[in-house]
Amino acid sequence: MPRRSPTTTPNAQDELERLRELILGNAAPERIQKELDRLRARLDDQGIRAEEISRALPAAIRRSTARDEQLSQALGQTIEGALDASVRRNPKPIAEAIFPIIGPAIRKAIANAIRGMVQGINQTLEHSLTPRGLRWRWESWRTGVPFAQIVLLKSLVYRVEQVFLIHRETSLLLHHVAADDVRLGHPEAVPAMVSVIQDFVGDSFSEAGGLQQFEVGEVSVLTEHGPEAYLAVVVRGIPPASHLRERMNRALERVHLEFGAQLGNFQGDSDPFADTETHLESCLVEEKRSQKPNWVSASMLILALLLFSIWLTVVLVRDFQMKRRWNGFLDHLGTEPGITVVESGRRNGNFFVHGLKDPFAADPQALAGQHLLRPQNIQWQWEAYHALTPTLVERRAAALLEAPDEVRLQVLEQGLLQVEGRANHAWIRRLDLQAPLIPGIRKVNRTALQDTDAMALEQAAQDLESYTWMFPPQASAFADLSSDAQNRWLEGMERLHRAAVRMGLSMEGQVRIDRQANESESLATERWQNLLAALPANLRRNSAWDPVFLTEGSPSLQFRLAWPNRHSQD
Amino acid sequence: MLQKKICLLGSPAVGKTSLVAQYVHQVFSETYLTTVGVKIDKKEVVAGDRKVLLLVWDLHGDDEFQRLQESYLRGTHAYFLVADGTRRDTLEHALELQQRFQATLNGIPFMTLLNKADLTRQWELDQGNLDELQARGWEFQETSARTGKGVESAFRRLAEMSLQS
Ligand SMILES: Nc1nc2c(ncn2[C@@H]2O[C@H](COP(=O)(O)OP(=O)(O)O)[C@@H](O)[C@H]2O)c(=O)[nH]1
Ligand SMILES: [Mg+2]
Repeated sequence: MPRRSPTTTPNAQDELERLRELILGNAAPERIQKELDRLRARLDDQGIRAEEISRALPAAIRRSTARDEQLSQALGQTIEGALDASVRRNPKPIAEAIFPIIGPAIRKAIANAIRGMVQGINQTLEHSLTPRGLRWRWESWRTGVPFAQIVLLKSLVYRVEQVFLIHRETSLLLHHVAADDVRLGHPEAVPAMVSVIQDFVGDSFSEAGGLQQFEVGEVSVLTEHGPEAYLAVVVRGIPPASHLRERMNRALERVHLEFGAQLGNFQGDSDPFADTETHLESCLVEEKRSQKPNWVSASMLILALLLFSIWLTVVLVRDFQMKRRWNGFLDHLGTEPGITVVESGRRNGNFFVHGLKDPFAADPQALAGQHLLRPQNIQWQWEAYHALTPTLVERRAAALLEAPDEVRLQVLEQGLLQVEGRANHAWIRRLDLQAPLIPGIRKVNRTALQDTDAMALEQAAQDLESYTWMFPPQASAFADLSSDAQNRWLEGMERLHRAAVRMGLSMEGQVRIDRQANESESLATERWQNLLAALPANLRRNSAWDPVFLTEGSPSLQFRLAWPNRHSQD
Repeated sequence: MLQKKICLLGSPAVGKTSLVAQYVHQVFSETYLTTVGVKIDKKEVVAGDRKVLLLVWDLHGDDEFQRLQESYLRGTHAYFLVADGTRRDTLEHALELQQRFQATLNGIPFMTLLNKADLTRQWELDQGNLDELQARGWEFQETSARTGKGVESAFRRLAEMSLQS
């Protein structure tokens, strides 16, 4: 308050005084002053002010909140900021404060998720491979309902899918719960429908106590009535007779007990009935179809699959090996001289070979054996032919000519048969006659082939040459040789004779006469006769011993070999 | 959630079903209606700054084939008495129905709808009829299910009335 100015006039002073009286009454100025000081002190003292504001604050906040949202908005930002700062500084206190709320919520969410997942996986697995499972898959594909849900529906004896708590008087929905995966349309209209059906049936057919159960499509609706409200549950499958109704009754009793007042005053506001949730949920029961543990059949199936795959592997491997052997065998046949495969393959699981085969070619059945194939499992069909490959010609020649051991046959190019070694005269003659007739042989070269008979003949002739039977002049009896020399001569004659017979040669003798000594032919004939007499009988018989008389040289007797039909010299 | 049951009551062919169809989309089919005599639809409205879910019971008309089920009216929070403005007798019948179901409907707010207001040339109601309604202190409104005139506001008004009951 401004102080009075000392310059104020007395008149003015009076007026002021009056004004003060008007405003403040006639209280003493000192008291007023004191009051003012007290007020000033209250305003200036922060402690007192805080104390007072703290007393008024709760009421002020309540009033402000009731009026509008300004305070909430104003405080909202501050509180957000404070929380933010607090969490930044040290998150622990706030985490601890909200833990009791968040912990159970998280646990519940996780448990739910896991339960749903495990159940889904189990059932999907159990049903995936069975014929029924396939049928359900088909149904799922046809109807567009997820497979897992079809499995769930089909593997349940029954399941309560929805529970409606309905106000009896108005048929309005008080509360509603549904099983986890049930898709909801418009639950609010359902109670009206349910009560219409019940009233309709009740009136039309005088059903005592209203309709307790009816079917709508695939589901049944069961109702249980209380004085103010009733329960309607939607059941998929065959609902159990008493068990479910017991639960419904118990839930209904509890609802009436706890929400009696709200039910009596119900004017359409369903919010208070949210708390009936746990009671309604107690009716969400289900019963699974008892199923033989499918693990048995599953493991049987797995075992069967395993055995089958082992068997299949064995079969395939064996078939593969068989094919490889078969191909090896065919390759072998292809390189085998004297065998030409025209067609081969597998017919009705059996192998077959058709082709040309030289009689002197290797035995295909034996070849098959070499390749570990069973010849009796192979169908053979061969046409005979003459192969001209040298090996084959050689083999054919060897077989046809029956060459002795010491003879080596070899077919060179152009059908030239090279014969080497040693053979008797008879075989060489056969060679000369037959070889040119053998298919594939055009020429024979046997210059390197020794004639054992000719060699023996030569040897015998040489041996005999050293013997000359000498006769004394004019005598027909020849001078005696020692008996040893005589024996050797005879033996030589035997050999000579044998070889000559083998070679188809005949022998002839020569008797030489000494003309100067006037030896007569009769003497010579006598001498000849004597000689013949000395020869063994077989030699005498088999030879054409016609003496040839020679006049030159000293009188002697010699033998010559000659072809029987020509008397020519060898 | 706040829900209110409301009914439509009136002679056959006054346009009850058409009014509901004009107002909401259908929930139950026509066949259902003919079997049990009622069709139920729902519609959310805002009345007196509250959201209200109206469950609308369209009662099949009262005729020689089917009697009106009184039980359907039970618990209704408000109702429409529907008359056909081109047929005077339908108004009288509506009043008669109200009398008949006095036991159930007593004290429940209602509103009278004079439907088919688009058919002005066939209109049979005159000022006398309206005066009479006014004298009873009844709320009434002309509507047309064809043009939609007055329909929306009538439902909103009835919703408000249901809140006060
Ligand atoms: N012009 C006209 N026709 C209407 C109107 N409302 C209903 N109708 C017709 O009246 C007939 C009976 O209507 P309906 O809704 O079935 O009557 P409800 O028996 O009371 O349900 C139908 O042919 C409707 O097309 C309207 O406002 N104007
Ligand atoms: Mg109709």
